Amino acid sequence: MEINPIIKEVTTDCNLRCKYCFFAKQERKRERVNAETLKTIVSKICECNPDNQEIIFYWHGGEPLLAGIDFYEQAVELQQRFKKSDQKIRNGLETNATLLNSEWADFFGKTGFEIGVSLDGPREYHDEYRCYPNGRGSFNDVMKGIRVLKDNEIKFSVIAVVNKRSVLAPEKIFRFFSSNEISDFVNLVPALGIETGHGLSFECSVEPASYIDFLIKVFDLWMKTDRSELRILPLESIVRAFLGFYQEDCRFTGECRKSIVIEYNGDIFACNTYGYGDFFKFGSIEDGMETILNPQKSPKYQNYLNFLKKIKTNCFKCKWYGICKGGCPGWYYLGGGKNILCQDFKRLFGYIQKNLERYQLV
Amino acid sequence: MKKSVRGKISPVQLAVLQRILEEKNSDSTKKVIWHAEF
Repeated sequence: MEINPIIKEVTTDCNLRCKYCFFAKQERKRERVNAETLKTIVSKICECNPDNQEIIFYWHGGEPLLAGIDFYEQAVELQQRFKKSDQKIRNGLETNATLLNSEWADFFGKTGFEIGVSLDGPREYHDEYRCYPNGRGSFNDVMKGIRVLKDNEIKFSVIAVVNKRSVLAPEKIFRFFSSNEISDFVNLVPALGIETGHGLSFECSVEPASYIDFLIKVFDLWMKTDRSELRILPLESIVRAFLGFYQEDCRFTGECRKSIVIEYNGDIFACNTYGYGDFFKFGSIEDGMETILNPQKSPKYQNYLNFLKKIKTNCFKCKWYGICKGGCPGWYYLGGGKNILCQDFKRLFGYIQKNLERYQLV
Repeated sequence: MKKSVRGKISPVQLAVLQRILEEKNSDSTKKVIWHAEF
């Protein structure tokens, strides 16, 4: 089976306290993946993937740089030791960029790690939510980290959370990313519910309708830019879906089974878009992937597959099914069984379709 | 108006659409992290 692990908690620790973080309401532990668990993760993932598979290891936190360079050197060494001869390994790492320095840049340059940086836009929109425990904004330090990447010619993508303030400023956000040439790849994801450990909190979240209004305005600006290389997600993914092109954006592929989340202690969950309820916990990496993700052997995994099937029952009849394939199951979870973004995404799909029709592309 | 074949390169004047059409399914579209996370 093809499995790309998201090592979500390389370390649960983080030097920031972003207000909309999954862990914002939870006690933060300073736990890290230990050497033995790391070896088990890498070996089991290589073992379960087909011989000629490209495997992507996503390293997340907390803040994954807190694990230290030696942790990733060890991971790369293990990947080379355990990968089958025709398997190809890629590594992605999502960082707040505040701890980046030339040593990290050297390592990323040597190993080809694909870096994602969290940056929400201009200072006034970023610092409101992405701050240190003392409340100080992290914008200056993020931009220093980005400078390190650029000086060392390390390519990176940006994940910008659309928050309560930035959702009202699509033009400022777009201009910031397009005129500063920060990155050619910007993923605009909405702040939705926060997992509190006891349920969901929506105090920092944006309204789905506002998020889609924001994306529609960004789409218009994006269409007018002469920076052809600028990829704005999820808009680019939707355009590609209309054109029938290859799609890897997990929000529109209709399946999230290729990715799993592995916690620092080896516990395996479905994508953490759902939070960390027991329903989404399948077992431990120690038990082997074939046992955990085999519906015949694992009732918990079978329940999860049934959940995925059930929530999308009505989607097959929808005229937009070919575009979104039912969307992200996490959006159903956040809506208590109803996809919280469905109605508004339909509005966006209609808008993009009209634009593509103007150029006789659909 | 006659419609073009899906994905066929049309005389699109918009830089971004032109790039997406030209890239189509090339490897360059797969060299980025597409994960919907923050």
